[in-house]
Amino acid sequence: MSVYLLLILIGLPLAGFLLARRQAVAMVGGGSSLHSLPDFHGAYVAAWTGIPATLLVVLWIALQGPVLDQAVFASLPDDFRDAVANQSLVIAEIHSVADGRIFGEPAPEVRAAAERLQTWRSMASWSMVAVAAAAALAGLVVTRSRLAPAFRARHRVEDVLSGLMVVCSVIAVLTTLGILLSLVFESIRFFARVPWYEFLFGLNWEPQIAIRSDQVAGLGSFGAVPVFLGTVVIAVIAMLVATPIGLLSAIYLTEYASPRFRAVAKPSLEILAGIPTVVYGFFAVLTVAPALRIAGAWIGLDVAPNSALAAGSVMGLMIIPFISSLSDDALAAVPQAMRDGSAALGATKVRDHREGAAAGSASRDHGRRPAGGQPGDRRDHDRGDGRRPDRQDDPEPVRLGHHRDRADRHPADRRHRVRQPQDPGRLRPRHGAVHQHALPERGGAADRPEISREI
Amino acid sequence: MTDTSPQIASAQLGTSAPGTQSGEPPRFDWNAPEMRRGFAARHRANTRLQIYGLSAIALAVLLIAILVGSLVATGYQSFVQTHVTFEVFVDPAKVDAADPAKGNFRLIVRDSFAAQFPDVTNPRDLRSLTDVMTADAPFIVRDRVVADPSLIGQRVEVTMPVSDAFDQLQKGVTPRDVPETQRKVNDKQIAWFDTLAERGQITVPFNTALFLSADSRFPELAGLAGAIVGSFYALLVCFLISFPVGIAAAVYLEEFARKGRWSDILEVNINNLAAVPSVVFGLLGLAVFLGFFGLPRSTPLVGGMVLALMTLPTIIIATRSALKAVPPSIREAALGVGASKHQVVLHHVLPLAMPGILTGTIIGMAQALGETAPLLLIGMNAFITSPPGGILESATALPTQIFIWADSPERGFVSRTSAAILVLIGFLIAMNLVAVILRKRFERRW
Repeated sequence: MSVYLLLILIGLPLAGFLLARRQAVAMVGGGSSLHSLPDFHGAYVAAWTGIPATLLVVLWIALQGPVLDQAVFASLPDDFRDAVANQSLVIAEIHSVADGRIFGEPAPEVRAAAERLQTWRSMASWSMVAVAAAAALAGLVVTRSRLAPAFRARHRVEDVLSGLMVVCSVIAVLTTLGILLSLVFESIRFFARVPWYEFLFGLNWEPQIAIRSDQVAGLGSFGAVPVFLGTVVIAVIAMLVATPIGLLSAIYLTEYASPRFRAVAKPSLEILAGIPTVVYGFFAVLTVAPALRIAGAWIGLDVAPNSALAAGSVMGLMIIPFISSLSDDALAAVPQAMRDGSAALGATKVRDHREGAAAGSASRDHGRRPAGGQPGDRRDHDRGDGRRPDRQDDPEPVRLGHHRDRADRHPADRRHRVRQPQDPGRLRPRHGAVHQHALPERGGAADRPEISREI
Repeated sequence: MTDTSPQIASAQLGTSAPGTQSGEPPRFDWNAPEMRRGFAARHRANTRLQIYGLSAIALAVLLIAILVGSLVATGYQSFVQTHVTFEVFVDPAKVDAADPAKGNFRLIVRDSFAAQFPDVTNPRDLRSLTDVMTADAPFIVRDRVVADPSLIGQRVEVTMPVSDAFDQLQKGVTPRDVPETQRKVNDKQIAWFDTLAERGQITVPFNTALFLSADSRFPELAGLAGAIVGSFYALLVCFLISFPVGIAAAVYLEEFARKGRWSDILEVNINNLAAVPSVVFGLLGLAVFLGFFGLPRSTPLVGGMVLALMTLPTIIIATRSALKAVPPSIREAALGVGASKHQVVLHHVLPLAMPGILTGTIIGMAQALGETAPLLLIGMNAFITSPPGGILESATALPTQIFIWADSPERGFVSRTSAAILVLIGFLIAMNLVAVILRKRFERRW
């Protein structure tokens, strides 16, 4: 059957393409000239032969299962159906009997239903093939009849292409919608059993107790406070580990490191972002937790093998590259003019950082990138080869350096960029994920007295 | 000129510099002792910051080294496997030539192995002697006899893994000097094992089973073949979906979409999706693909679809920046010689952007290969003892296999887990290297 499907979904469009192309070539003979190239005529016919049939097949496959299940269940004798407590259990049993996996003695009604299901399945499959073939042939015939020298095949093909592209980009929206709906519906079902205040404020998290409905202890064991608290504790520990290391290494890499050192050190830090999470988990169990246990025993503490300290510190290790490249970008966004200015006034780099760059970059961490991309925007010496172009002489670093830069980046960088998709090159308003803060006055009057006091 | 410059500076700063008296312009003596002290302090602070920065980097690198080092230290042992070689007499009395699969191979193997130590007769000792071999020994012999029934009645030399406890003993993981009650192997067994080793019957060859066999309850037999094949199928599905769809979506957004509310919604959507935790995609797959559409559980098809949804934003974002990097002059030139908008994109812009797109795709695929959480939710952490034959068969993937093994209590699985992680990291490094080479080779700088 799948052979027939392949023939219909791939063979027929191919045949349509070749036929239509030949037809188009033949049309030129009469002295009339084609509006579109023969290939476009072929592609037009192929598209209308293949695409509707493919969509039909996908839809059919997606819906066949649920529809057949309902039909089979409806076909059960009324008295048997009424006696059934759990519909999905019966359907599952019918399924396994139909597939030949028989456990115990199924009821005769179930056997009969399984046989029905099997015949219906093969009927459905064959009618799917028939419908797909009919759709493909209809598309082939109708579109071929429309071919003419003046027929604007290229426009039609491009319309189809545009339509496909729109469909593809809508998938992202559908995914979001799917996530939202699946979470909402599951939550509604959950909160129908467990009151929301129990969940939010309950102090006891023992979900395994409530598996059976006759267990009274089920209620109240879904208090999520321990889970929330555990998450917060682990996050805080992770931040305590990652922030100093990440921030300091970013400062060093941005301000002090030679390009060559940078070219080596930055990728090695980013190794951390490429390691799968499951590896960190294993590392925590295998190495960190025992080490903490030994360390705890030294100072007379009993450390649990699955302590938040182990989890948090390993997570901290994991997010070092995120923190580092975030701060890197933030520091890079501080205008070069400010650096030059404070250096001219005699400030050393450390002072520069404490007062100027840090003030500027702290606000930028909230997701705001200074509009326009300054000429000194340091993202442009992030070329991967460690080359540090002359900041002032790069007339349009944003367009040239920055875009490539994004593709160059490690996934870790990309992930955080996603949250701030501001592209300085194209000033276009964005909404949603991007927080729109007012641009803090950086390098303005607020900073200068600080620096000058130093002198 | 040189005299006046400090004065100019001080005159400008006079208003904000503390301690200056109005009226008379303050003078700075750059060589005054307090000034010098200030300089020195500032330079020290500067050096301190540098040292902090360097030590932060050094610490991070050290932590990476510890991470990789501990994995290598525990994992390298699993790349070799202790085997025992002995002669098996396939007793015709215990195997029916007509139906060799039904023979009593347990007895055949036990008797043959006991023949190595004729002095062992006590049934209890016999049992603990057979514990030296892997528990699957009868099946290993059975498979050989079934494959070649002419072996019945002959003496066959068989090489098979020893059981996990002795593997650990051979590798030195289990110490010999602890009291007998504290280890899994008793003194008698150690003595037999050492005798076998003296006779040269114990070998420690490269562990091909790690790559050629699938999961097993026994660490000495467990391998990664099922996980590697499962990951391959899942990635294949993921690539076939996310690559075309991602490129099409990115081309639409970058080249065709009219800037407006709709394209803004799409864009924000995609950017938000990239920030969604991967476990949420697993929930989506569970609710929609398994729950609503009723697709088969634990299959690479569903795993690949979930991973595709997760990879899609990565590919779209990479493609868009690759498209942006193609200079407008290319588009204008193509439009100028009469190409349509679609032809411009398909014939000129997209091919030029391809290296960037492929780089982004490979990085996205590498991310998908390492993802565990969504696969756990759709049941790809099943215990499956043979590699999947297609995308519709139950399978595990590399990260979920690591997850399963990390949870297993047997000592041998610790080392197997590390080995599996090393294999996974090897794949990831290879993919990233390909991406780097692609970028270095083919990416044009305009």
